[in-house]
Amino acid sequence: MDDEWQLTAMTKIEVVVGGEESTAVAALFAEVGATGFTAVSNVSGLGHDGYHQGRLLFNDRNGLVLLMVVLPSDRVADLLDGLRAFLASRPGVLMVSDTSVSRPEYFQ
Amino acid sequence: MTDTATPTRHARLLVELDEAARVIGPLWPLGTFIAVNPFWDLRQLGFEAAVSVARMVFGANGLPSPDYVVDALGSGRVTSADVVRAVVEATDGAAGPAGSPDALAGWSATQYESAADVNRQVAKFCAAFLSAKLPGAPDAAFYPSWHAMVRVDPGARALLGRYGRARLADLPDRAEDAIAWCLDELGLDRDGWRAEFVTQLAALPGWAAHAKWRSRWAPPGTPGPALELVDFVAVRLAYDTTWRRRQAERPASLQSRTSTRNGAVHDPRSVPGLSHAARASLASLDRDRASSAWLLALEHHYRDELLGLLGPLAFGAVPDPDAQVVFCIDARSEGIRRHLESAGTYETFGFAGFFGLPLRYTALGAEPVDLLPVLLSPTVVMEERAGVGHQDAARRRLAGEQVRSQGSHAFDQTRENGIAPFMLAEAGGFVAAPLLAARTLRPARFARVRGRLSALIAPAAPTQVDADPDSTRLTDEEQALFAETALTTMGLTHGFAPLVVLCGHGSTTENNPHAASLDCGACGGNRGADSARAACAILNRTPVRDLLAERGIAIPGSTHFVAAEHDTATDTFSFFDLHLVPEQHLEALARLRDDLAHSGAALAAERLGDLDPSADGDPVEAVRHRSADWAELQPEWGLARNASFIVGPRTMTAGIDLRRRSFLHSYDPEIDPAGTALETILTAPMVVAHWINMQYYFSTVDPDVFAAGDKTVHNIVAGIGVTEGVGGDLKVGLPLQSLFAEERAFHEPLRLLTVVEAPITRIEEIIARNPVLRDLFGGQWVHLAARDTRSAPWMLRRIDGTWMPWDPPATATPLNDGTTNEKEVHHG
Repeated sequence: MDDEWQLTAMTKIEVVVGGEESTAVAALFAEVGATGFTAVSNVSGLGHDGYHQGRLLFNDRNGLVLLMVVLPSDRVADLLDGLRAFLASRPGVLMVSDTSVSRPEYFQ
Repeated sequence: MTDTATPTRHARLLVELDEAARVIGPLWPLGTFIAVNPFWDLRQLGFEAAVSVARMVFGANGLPSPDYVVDALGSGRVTSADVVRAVVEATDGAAGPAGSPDALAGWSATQYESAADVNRQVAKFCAAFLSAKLPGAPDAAFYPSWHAMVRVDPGARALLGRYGRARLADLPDRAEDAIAWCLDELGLDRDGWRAEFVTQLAALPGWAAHAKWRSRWAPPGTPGPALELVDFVAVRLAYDTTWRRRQAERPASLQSRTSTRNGAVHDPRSVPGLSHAARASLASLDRDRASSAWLLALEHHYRDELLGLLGPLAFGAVPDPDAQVVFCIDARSEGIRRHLESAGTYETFGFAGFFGLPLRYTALGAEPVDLLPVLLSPTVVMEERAGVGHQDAARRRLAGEQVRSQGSHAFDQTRENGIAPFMLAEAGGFVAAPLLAARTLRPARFARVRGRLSALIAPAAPTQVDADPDSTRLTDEEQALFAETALTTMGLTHGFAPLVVLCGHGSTTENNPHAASLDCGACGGNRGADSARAACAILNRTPVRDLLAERGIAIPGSTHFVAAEHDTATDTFSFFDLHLVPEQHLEALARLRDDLAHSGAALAAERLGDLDPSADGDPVEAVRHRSADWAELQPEWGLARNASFIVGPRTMTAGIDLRRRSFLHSYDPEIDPAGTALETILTAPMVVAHWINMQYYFSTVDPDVFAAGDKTVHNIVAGIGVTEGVGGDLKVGLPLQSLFAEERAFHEPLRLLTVVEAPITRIEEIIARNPVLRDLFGGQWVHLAARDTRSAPWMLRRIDGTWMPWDPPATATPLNDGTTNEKEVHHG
């Protein structure tokens, strides 16, 4: 707990996958008890497959989507295990970082 | 060794289930049925590897059969020379099949003797669940609903005995826990999970396909019971595990499904009628390679004819058209465009029939409907409103529709209640019998009378689609962006005619569960008129035009956009919002409608030749009869024989009879130097065309596995799918009558040939930055031909990304030399 701001430590997991994989990733989030997540569709950037422009106008499913979820640290291992298996056969990016939230009850 | 039931384990279970479900394509409900590539989620493996998976998992034959190629050879759709050339390509390293044995590891299914009995039980519960007849409907999940009922289900007791049924009742309450328990019971560790899941899914591929749609494609908030993949697998695995455990106490008898369908009648290497050279070429290949070479040969034959027709000269440029008409890219539009262009000074365009608007649309007094390709989520919300000064008429229409709807609802309710149908027959038989007789004997006239009655009950009222920024939540700027994208992508940014018609399409058929498959795929299996109306409403707004002018697209004030719809079953046209058309356009509009009526009649005659070659009499009446006849199994051929997707200006194809086999997407490479429009075309409309193409392809090459069976024995289940006869698995794909004329394939199963007129470096840049295009072109799901300019030679893309010049065979149709523009691509 941060003394000045009353923040609670959590873990943030960010995943970049193809848009059509987002429902499967969301199902994994739900399986470990996440009650919400954030999705940013048509993200762009440079990766192993070259530069992704993020400008597919009439196709949401074959662009890239960034999914973010914040969890109490004790649930992270469950999710990571699933996500690593999921990404074993697909392109994607997985990032894990420490974060703090001001309303921890939203992320239980 | 197995894990205990933990969230970690559950996350892994879901991942393996998702992986296993790649062998299943999604099946949309009947109301929004669209064509899909059944192996879309295996596209990364390449076409040939996916065909191998289809064989291992479903015992399916994914290539044209020797019987088919014998027929094609006999009718000239392929020649010995094509075969020789195809064998060279099939054995060329850069063009050979993608995929490797490693990639296929883990894709197999096992069939157990009990499969049919287990399937009957699972299918029974799936149907009951989706009909909201299980406890907790419609909100409860499938597994808990089933679990609450199975403990008293006599079917479970008959299959598994009292003890077995009690074991089902003792399963955990959650689907994931039940799956984990079953996997433990079967002694499977993680390496075996995927194959087990594939086995469960492949046993009932129709219900699994519905579950795949629900879990992976259904929009959030889709109403009705949700049959999710995890629940479906939990239920089937529960029966299977209990049965297999029971069998383990006695001798079990297992058989591989792959061994049951391997007996080809002919060897593809010894097809009669081949030249010595072709026979010798095929003899150097194994059986599978020989079948692949035959497919390539069929495709090359079509390709050579098509590219031979698309010569270096421009035809059909219309400098000062009376009207411009934008049709959907649907292959059926090619016919009407050809006939309309020959009827007057009209310029036509091809663009996806949702006209660029990812629209959630609410018709007056109706529920919202999503009118957009399934690759998109709706971001535009628009409504139909009463026209200015026509509020009273709109109220009368709504009241009439309410009466009609209540009558229809009461009739349906009565039919579904126990003894009431008998009373209904007694009470209503005197009226109904003559109506039924009229409907059966004179369907076209009956349809006209019914239409007039319907208009009496709910008289038409002038309405309009509201494009005001306040109600659409789309600012003028956002509306202008949609308009700019649509116009730029279709290449219509200058030279606007006084009248521009956006023409959607739909198909009027009777008693046809798969009716949506004949409507507009770009509108999510709905009719296209409302999308056209919405786009016109935006394009006619002055603030939008002002913003477009700032972006270099100057639409003259004298230009008006009008919405229309092509009924592809009758080749008739409806126009909309005519009360909004300025008076100075009425004469030109009347002329256009007249020309469309004549063009439609000519197209009807052309189509009737395919539908009923022996027909005589008035073709217009004949196609109307088919459309209105509730006993008609082939109201139209839909997109059968689709084979190519052509991207370029209409001057590339105008005047050429492409036999309604080509998706035509307008494109002007001159106004798209960055390739944005071309990227949009290749990553969305082409993907949809590929789905349609693959649905027709697989449904034709192995109808037992990939087609929906015979229409005459279809039963609709819960409004979402059909079964053949009573109960059992849902049928996937298209009905046989959409593919076959009698016993002979009407559809010609070829992979899509995409033809682009644009700089090849631009095309390569687009492919390089889009994995989906690398998969489709590199995996030989779609062939690609292109030329930099009209006068440049055609180049063919090999799967390794290199290009080779198209070498026209000596016997191919000569290049269009301008002496005639009346050519056609033959299809035997």
